[in-house]
Amino acid sequence: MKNWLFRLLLLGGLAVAGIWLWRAWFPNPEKAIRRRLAELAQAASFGPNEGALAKAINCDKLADFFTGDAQVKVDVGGYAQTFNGRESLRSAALSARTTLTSLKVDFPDINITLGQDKQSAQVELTALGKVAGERDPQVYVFKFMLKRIGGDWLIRRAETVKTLM
Amino acid sequence: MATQAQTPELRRWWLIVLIGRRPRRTLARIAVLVIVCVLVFKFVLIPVRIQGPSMLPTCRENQIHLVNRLAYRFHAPRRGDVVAIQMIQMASQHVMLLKRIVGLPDETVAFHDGRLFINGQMLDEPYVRYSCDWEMRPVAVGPDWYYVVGDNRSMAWADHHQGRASRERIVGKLLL
Repeated sequence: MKNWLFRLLLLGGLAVAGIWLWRAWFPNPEKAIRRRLAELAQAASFGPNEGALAKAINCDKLADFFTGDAQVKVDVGGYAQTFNGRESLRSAALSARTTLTSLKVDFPDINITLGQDKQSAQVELTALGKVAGERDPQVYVFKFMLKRIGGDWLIRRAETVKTLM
Repeated sequence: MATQAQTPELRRWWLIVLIGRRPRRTLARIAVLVIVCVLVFKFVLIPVRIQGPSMLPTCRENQIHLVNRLAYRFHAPRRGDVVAIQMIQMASQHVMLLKRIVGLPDETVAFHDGRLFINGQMLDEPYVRYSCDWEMRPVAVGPDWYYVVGDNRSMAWADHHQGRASRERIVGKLLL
């Protein structure tokens, strides 16, 4: 009886481990996108003691979240600009890192709509940016269009969305 | 000797204070309390912490308020209500906008010399303490839409989130 119970428990344990491994290696698209966006928020954030080399490397890392032909439209508080392509985004990130002392980006609310082919997705999220020296965080809503390329979810298009019309 | 005799008695007394004479009943009460709190604070009264100056002086930075999600179950939002608005459409959110309803469906809203006009009539706003010089041409509020604005009119026009919000984005009314 004891032997039977031991085998059953072992089988159960193996099944749980198998499911866990399967999910780790082949995460469902929504989880993968959430993880990717968490990495993006981390890459967009920077501290006050970032060296010149670290700045350049981190800006490259940030640009790698976008496709080569990505388009980012920002329209907030009377400031409107469109960035086309990775190089333009890299320059903008470098410029932000030069102008601001530090920035902490967070995406507290993320709403993901997967495409039928599961290779594309539309994401609406709230971006919270805390800038050093400013008391109140900046809050914006973004809409991202993502595409799965070579196993990675890359941003093809991003634009700010106005909550109030 | 006297202290040794008192120790078990004192321990028993503390146990009664902490878990009551009937521990099972106490446990059941705690379970009910936890369930009620979770249900109330998740689905009925949402606690919110104010960030930003746009609702001054009604709501101050870091104040905690409660948003009543059931406020508009039996009637439509009213002018003057302070409401929480979803920033994106999803079931539960961490970040919401807090604004006052000034324009109702099918009305027109305008600002002239910092004063608010509804359908061409100036609106008396006792909650506004800081004056401004905002100018905005009349904007038509569609059916099932509401015009919302913060109480702090001393902010620059560009820095102040305001405009039309659809009914479905209004989460509930702020309990002051």
